[in-house]
Amino acid sequence: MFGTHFYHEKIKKSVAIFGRMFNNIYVIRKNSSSQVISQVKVPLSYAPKQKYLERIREQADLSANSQVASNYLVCHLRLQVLTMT
Amino acid sequence: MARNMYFTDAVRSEQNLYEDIVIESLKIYGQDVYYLPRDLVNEDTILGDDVVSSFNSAHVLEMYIENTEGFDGEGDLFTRFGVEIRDEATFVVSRRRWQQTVRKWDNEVTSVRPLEGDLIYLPMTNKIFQITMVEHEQPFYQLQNLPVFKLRCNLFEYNDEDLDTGIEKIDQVEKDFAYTYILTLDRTSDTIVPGNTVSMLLDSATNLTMTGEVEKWSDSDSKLHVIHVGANDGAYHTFLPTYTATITGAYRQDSDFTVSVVTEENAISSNEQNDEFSTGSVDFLDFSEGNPFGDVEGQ
Repeated sequence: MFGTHFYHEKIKKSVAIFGRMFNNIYVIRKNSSSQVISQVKVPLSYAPKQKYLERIREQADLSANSQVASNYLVCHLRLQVLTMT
Repeated sequence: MARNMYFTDAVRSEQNLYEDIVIESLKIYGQDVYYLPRDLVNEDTILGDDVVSSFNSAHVLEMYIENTEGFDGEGDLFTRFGVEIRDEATFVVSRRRWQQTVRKWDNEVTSVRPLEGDLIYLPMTNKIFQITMVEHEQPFYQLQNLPVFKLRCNLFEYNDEDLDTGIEKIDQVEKDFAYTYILTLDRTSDTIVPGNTVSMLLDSATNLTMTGEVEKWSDSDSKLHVIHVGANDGAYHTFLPTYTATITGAYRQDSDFTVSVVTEENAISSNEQNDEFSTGSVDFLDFSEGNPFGDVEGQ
């Protein structure tokens, strides 16, 4: 009834578009003289992903990359509900 | 019945002997580590934090690691925020040696004990730990004295702090993980060195100036890596192409360069998809139009 194969990347593009809206957030930090001494773009990523990819990307070199914990300020998004009306 | 007055465990000479033996044991069985006191840059007395601490000194000190079969804690965890490393360790340090090594030689240290928030660099594993709790009553008054501190630590979560200790391995953390602006300059130079200061005058009328610290200079492609960047008006600005970057500091001869390209690199976040989201949504929505959700990137 629906024919053969079709794929329009709707969900993928929806994730990308939603992510892009939060794509340019910066956190700035000031010293006691109110001068900015650090400004960092908040990293954004789609949360559900293959764990093995995550692991090898974050810790390609086990000895070097674990020098400090990588709990940097970070923003994640996930697609939770998809409704059709 | 009162305690026998002819016997006491609070003899000063015995206490000193006990402390000497403890120190000798720590020197035999311990590890040489670096102790990094934290400097509070801008403490927020309402929220109770200091997000821009700096660490500008490191003191070699022997400490014993209590963990014998690996670090404590939950190890490496997969969370929605990526891989989180939750290593924990307990270090034992002599009170007297800490006083002699850290307090005596660092005039910025005013405390009489190691402080929570200070860092310990362990060269053996090349890891930096942050002290979360200082236990001061273990062992418990064996000779009515307390010769050691036990420092309970977590792996340090680096967050763009300034590390200028002079110890290459420690300062490398800043080079590897600090948020970096990469400026392509108009010519090469052999006198730019890490630690120099980069400044760019954006508006002469208001004296609006961007500054940053040179982290690396690549002579082959004239790329200047700059960290700890900010403007003097307290707002967000960035380095701009075609403007002049002035470099000051040690070994300076040629100071003014014209910037041709400015890019940014977030090295600590290896799984960020900011660029992918930008390219993945091209030709789908026109983000050049004003949007009701906020100030997204202008393209």
